[in-house]
Amino acid sequence: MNITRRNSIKGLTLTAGGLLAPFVQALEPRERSKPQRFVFIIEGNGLPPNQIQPKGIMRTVDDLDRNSSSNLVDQSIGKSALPEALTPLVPFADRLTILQGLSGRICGGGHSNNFGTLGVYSGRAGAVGQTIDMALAEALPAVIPQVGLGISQRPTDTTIYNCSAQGRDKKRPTFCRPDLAYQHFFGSVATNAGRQNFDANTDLLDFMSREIGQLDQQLDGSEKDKLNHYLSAFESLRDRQSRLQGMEAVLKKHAPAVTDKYRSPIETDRLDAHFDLGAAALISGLTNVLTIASGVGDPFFNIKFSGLDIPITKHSIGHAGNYQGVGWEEMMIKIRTYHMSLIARLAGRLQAIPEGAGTMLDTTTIIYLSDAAENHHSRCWEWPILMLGKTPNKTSRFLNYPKYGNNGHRTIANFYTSLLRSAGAPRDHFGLKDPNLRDLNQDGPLEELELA
Amino acid sequence: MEASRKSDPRLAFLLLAITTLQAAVARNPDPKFHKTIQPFLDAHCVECHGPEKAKGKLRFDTLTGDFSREGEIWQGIQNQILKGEMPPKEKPIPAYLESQVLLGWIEKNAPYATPLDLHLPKFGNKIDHASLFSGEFDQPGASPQRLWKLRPSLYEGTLGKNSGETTQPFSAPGREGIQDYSADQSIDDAETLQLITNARSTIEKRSVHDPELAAIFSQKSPLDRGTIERVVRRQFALTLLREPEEEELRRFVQLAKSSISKIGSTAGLKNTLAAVMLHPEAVFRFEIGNTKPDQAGRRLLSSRELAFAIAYALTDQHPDPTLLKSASSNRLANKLDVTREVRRILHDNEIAKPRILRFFREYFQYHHAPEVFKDFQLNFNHAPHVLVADTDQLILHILDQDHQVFTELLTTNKTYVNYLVEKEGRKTRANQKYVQDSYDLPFEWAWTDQQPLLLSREERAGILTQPSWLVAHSSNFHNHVIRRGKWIREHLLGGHVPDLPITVDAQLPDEPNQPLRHRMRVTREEACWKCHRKMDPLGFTFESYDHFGRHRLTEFKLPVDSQGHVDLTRDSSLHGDFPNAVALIHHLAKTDRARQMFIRYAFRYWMGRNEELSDSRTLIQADQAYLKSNGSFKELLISLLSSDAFLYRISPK
Repeated sequence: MNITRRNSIKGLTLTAGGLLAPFVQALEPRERSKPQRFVFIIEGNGLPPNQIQPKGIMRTVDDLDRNSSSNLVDQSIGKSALPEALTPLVPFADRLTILQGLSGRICGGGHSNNFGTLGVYSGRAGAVGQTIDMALAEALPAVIPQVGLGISQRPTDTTIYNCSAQGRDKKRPTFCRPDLAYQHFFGSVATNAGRQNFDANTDLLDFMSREIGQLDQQLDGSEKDKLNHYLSAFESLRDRQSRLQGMEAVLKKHAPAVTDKYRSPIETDRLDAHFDLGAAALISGLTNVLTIASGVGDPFFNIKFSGLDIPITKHSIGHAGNYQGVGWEEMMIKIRTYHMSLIARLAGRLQAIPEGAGTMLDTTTIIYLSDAAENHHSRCWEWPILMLGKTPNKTSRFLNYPKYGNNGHRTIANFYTSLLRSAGAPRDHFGLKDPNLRDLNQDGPLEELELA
Repeated sequence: MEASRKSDPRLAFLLLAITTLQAAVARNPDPKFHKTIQPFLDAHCVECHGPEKAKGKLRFDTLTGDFSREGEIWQGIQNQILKGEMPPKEKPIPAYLESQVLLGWIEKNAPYATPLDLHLPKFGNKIDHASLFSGEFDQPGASPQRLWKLRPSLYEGTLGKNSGETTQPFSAPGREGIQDYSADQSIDDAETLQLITNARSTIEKRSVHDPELAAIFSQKSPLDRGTIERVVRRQFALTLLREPEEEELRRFVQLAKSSISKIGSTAGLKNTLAAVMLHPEAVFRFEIGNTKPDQAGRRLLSSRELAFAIAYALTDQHPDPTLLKSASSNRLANKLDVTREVRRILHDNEIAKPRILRFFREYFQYHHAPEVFKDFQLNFNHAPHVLVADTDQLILHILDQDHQVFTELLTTNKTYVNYLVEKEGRKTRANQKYVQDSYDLPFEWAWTDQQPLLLSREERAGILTQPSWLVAHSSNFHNHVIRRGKWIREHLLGGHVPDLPITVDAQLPDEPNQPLRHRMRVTREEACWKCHRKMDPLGFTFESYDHFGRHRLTEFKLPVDSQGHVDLTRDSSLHGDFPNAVALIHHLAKTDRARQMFIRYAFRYWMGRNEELSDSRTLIQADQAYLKSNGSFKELLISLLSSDAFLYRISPK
């Protein structure tokens, strides 16, 4: 018998008996169905379509440089056709899908579409509905439904609320400091402080839940809700702690080694650490949905990549800024290439873990896009997307949908509907429909993406 | 079978009635739709959107309230009411409260509807200004009973103050304008985890630096109940500034014993002290009120709550010893007591009151200037942080004079130039810049500490012509006519500008050598102009400044066109044509409306919520206090902080 990650965990749970009972519970639903994971890598400041356009495939545009293709283009591409920014992905070229021509006008555009990016609604409205990462998390339960990591322009930010939401007004945090995220997700169980911290926390969390419950009775209405929210924070930490404790062995095995990068003031270091953390969270089975937000959301997008020797902000780069003779596009591609190298590293780690007849990469879909769609000042006529990992075929593929408004035109809502179908939670539609496309069918998944 | 065909006609009628009723319920089972919503539409909308006219091909008499089919129409209704576009001007206006009921119902039912939480700052102006100041709504005011999460600066000044290595658990909401509202804040698991980490870190630090605690932790013998109680009481005093209640103390001691039995004396006691720091009273301000309500159902805040409310209104610190002493000796129990304490703190220069300057920052929003990226190659002398510091200084100067403060803020031609940097001999990059360029002073101008300086009265008028404000309301390469106009519409005229509709493609033509006014011609298209007419004619008056805030007479070698006008309010005395921003500002500074809007914003900032009609008395009294005192901001603040809205709490509706 091959020793895979899953059956080795199974063995652990059998020998450890009751101690690991919570983990067995957490594992059961996943064992019954095929494992599946989703990773969203969102990079702020826009993704101009030409930066992921395969070499040799002409992009047809109108006089405003918008996609003007009248038909669906669906063709495979070779390794040598990957554009400069995607070169780190060459080893995974046969698992790559490049999607062009999807629109997202409903999100409104601008520097960032904020929660609308993953929610398909106005980016200015705040969190008014569930985002796709949280919808997938709901379909693929795990100890931690979704892990949100990211970097913002302020190194002092601990958690920000920028792109993920469980539902209306239910924003989910993006952890900006890797050291704190490590504490949050791996906590004491991955260190040798272990049992004592666990007991201390359990006592504290239980006590606080009871204590807040006492005060709860004095209030009503929305104020009671606030207290309940605080109460449920303690309860969910308590619940999570139990489950994490049940996973002690596997967490210890996969927890990343905390390095200086975890507390570095340099944003590339922190992003690097987040990718490490995210990979560990997926591999250890903590979560099935990972969202990594690199300078995402307004005002967090105005970040510098000084670790790449680029001292001016992305906002400045977006406004065609240059530095010491280096042009904006060159800097933008340099930053993008760096992100691709991190994605390649993540894919490599997943590929190294056997799972079933293949590897974890076969069951993980990595999606890369920008919260500013196609430009620094996005208008969302187009929303370029890159997919890696679990893809419909074993060859790199390029899909370009017909231009906005034409027959066959599709939106990011259709793409997200495809992901939901793949996760076994099909819906007719995700998010809001574009009222200017009312003559087109906006329902259903992208037929070309048969992910399931 | 035969018998069934000849069934009783009464039964048939009954069946029909049941079926009809079922059909009606199936169409819309929500009784509120039939009771409130449909009658509203019948009264205000169906005349034009009904069987006879069906304007815009819309009929509201056939709506059923089924959002799965009518979602877009209901969102359209919501938008039109929010924008103030419907009913049209010539038709009677629905009662304010009726509109709110309809809007609230749409928000509740429509998936993805614009969040219409009227408690949010962006809806502050939805209450009719004339009604608020008419005196018709002279009723006892009160704020709702509430829990108010500590703002980040307050966390730093209180709970996080004596901590070890802590991290701010809370983040500012990040919206424009007033930040600290009580209604829209809760604490989630991520923040709670950080609070726990910080609490543990604080206790660790205390266990080393606090001799009494250090002695207890070094003790080898088991901790007796008396010691545990003493330590818990001390932590209560430090964190919550009060004694634990008997029952409360018993519970904390029980926690200590439980923890000590599992993890030992030191860790167990630390755990207990951390729990005190996580008490809801430590992370929320509790404003519930005394147990006994008055005839109007209002509860006066308790002395202790008043002490906290006063301290947190003006500072980022716990109440000072005088406040606490007043509270514990029954000398903080009514309006006079509160007035005395507020006045004391306001006149005590030793007490730092960062909340006051912060109000002016959040009202004018000039402090965002450094966030607007400007290419240094376009203007090497641009130093946005210095510009903000200079405007801070100007506001502090005006507050120090405390004479016609609002008029001065809007019209003064005084300014500070690179004041603090030079005065304090700071070594910054600003030292190498000619910051005076932003104020149109010549390069050869020599810095002086004899400030404020006087600029040309024809060219500068108060904060809105300070380079910091102009830069904060500019884009990377241009003036921002829309943001400037929007600020005036909302902050001086009391209007409301809705968010950009999702279907609008908000881009100006790329014509780099054309004046902005010319490029903005696209906003004149009918669909755009409905909203832009509320902003553009106001914002264009600032075209006599460039996007660095420097005064100019020409743009692209053509004379600058800075004409604009005020209209679209229900008060025609506000209206008029103006050659430039200075003329516009001088006109508005004299109006009751602009002054009263300033007072409304001050109310929002200090009450942490939007005003309601029931706050009419508080607002009128604040306005009168300001006028009677010759425009003293201190007197305005004293009036607000001793008002019904500040002192009383009422159960939330």
